[in-house]
Amino acid sequence: MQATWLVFRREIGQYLGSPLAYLMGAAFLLLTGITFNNDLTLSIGNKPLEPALIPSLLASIMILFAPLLTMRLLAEEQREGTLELLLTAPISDSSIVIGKFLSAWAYFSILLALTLIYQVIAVSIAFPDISHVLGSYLGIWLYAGATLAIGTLFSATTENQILAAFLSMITLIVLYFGDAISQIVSNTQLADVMFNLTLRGHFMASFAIGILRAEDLVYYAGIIVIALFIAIQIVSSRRWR
Amino acid sequence: MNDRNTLQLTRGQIGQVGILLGSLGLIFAASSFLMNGFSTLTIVVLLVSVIGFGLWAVFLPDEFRAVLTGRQMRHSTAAILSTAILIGIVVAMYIIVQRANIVGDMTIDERFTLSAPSMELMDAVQRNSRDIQITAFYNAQEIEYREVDDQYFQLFEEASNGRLHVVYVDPDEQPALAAAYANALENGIYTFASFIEDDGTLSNTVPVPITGYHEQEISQRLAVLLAAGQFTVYFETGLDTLDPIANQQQGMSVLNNIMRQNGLITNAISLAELAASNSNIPTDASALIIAQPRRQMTAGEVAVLDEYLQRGGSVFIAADALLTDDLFMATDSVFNTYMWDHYGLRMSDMIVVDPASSGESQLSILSAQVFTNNDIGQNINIENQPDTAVQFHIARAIEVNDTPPVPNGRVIMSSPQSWGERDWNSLFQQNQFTFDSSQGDVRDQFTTVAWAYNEDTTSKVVLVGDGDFLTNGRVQSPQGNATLFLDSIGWMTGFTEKVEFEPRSYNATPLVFVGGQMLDTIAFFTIVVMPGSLLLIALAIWLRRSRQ
Repeated sequence: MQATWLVFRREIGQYLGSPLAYLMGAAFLLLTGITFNNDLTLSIGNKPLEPALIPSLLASIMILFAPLLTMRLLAEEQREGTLELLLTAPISDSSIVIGKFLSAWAYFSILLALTLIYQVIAVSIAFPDISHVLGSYLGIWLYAGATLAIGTLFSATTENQILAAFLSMITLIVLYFGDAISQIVSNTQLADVMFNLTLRGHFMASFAIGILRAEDLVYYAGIIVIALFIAIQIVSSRRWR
Repeated sequence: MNDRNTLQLTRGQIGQVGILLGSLGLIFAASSFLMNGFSTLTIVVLLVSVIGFGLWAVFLPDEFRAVLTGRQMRHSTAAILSTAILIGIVVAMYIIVQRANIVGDMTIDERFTLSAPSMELMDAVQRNSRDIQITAFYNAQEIEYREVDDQYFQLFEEASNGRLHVVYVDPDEQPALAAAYANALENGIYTFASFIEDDGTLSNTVPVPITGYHEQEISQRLAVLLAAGQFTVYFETGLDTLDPIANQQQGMSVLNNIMRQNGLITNAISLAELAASNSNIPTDASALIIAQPRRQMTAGEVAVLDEYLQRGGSVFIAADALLTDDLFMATDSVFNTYMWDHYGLRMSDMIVVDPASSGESQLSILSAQVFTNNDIGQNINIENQPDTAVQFHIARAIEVNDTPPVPNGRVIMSSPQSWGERDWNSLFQQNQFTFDSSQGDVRDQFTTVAWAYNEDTTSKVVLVGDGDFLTNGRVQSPQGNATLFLDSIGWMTGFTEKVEFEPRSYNATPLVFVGGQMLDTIAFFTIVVMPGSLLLIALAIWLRRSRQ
């Protein structure tokens, strides 16, 4: 735990000390800000503010954002040869992987928390469904955790950051649009299975409409656990390969 | 040498595919076992798994042996197997949790929680002798919609204590089954509720149109289904009335079908035959429809009708203006006098001409004034919905006694500019109608639809001065014509009270007006200040690093 905390602190320090992370954050806030203002203008006298607007937008943005956030986590360590140093340090492989993953998730959480300002504005001028909003934020937070875990996994597989980002992006695209594959073959059972395997399927049909389902929590937690476990196995394999 | 290397590489690949097949097969077999028990699929996947591990053992025997002895293989195999076990555990947990269906409603107005009226309805479903099936049609492209609708279906399924079952059908995969629902499916209705009979067949199927207010819409249609078979409406056919089965323009099959789709039983009956055989209208008759009769009623027929009304029956009468010596409800006829004496309503000898509120001609009069003190008028002439108006073609004026023997009232009236034409010969034969007071024409606002209710006998009467609006050719143009008829039937039979559900109040308050200056301030803060602050921090860090 102590080791995980040390790795986490070192990584989050790198995020917060990097101008690139702030540039990404600025782009993130610009996009969400434009979306919020657009909904605000369309809603006046017409409809309530969309409670899951920002989380729904982030669900698609994370396909690009998660690989960018995680590509350097382990790939850079491998390329620069510092992973060997870490492996020889008195910390476990799981501490390395989990600490790095948690730092990426924490960075995303800070950005997500900044978008809560939109909800504060919404409360001051309207009557938004706050519990629905918070439910959808919880959903996108878990969703992001799953995408970042997948990014961490691919960052562990290669020392090339671009390749790691590319592989995780492809995987996330498949996991996001997976149900579209079944539409090509027009098979409902297959479509059902594919939809339930996709990241989108566990967000759009539950958190986004105001439902909290235990199966969605297990799904996202399961993806995080499995992806991180495989990443730990890959890092550990360097010891006996 | 090269050939040998190629051969070794291929064997290695097959062995790797083998271990992959074996591991995935184990996971799928475990999942299949959890979902379907020890099924054929489980056995097949398990066999694939065994074959996979077999291939691994045959094509990579050294590695297979090394699992037990070799360090590298021992590690890699342990990694693969532990990953497979972890995936298996997660999949098993997911399936268990999915089956438990643990759902929390996060909406402030509890959209995903059944309301008290719906829960009462589900109690009725549990008490009902037959199970209910909701059949919903979705193809592969509509899975996302199905997932959302499924949230609501599950609420009803759980509240029914196993008495309500949801069945999903893919119309592309089962076209024969979908064919039975083709008309409704073409009109965008994809959900149906039916009773399940003892032999497994479905009966009393009612469509469940879903437009976004899932709970209210499903509850209302389930109420309709539960009411199915409780109300029987008879069509009078002995007075040369509209044929409820004929599907031509002059038939009345559209309304008949709509009533049946709503769970009402419809039958034909002849007052003449009942009078001749000295019989009465059946006791199960919730209402009698006399649509555009073409002759007067005999004293015997009136007696049959009177007996029915005395025991609380309800009659819907659409008395048209026809140029005949044997006009139904002619001013001096037996039945017209009966209606005046008992209900304070009678047909006059005037046809309403309305220059101010009419369609293609001044004889095609539109509902100018509607009274909403009775259920019948509630859904007519709704503001900004022109299709909710009622249109009659050559309608007779109704006289309403203002000191009636029983409570009565008006539903629809013409405009104050209208007048009553008494020269029917000129109107029907030469299509000429001009106001002529010397001919007895009267300028007034005329009643074209009226109701009466005898509180002692509970009998109800709805009198309409037109019959054409009930025909297939006119009943849905405008839509208000069908509404007038169906709401009349609903009021007379009590069907409306039985199936009506008050709309749930949702806290979907539209965003009230926000001043332009405030909008600009919000936009400036969220689009400029917030991202700009991060850009400035990025710039500061970059400058500090570059100086170092």
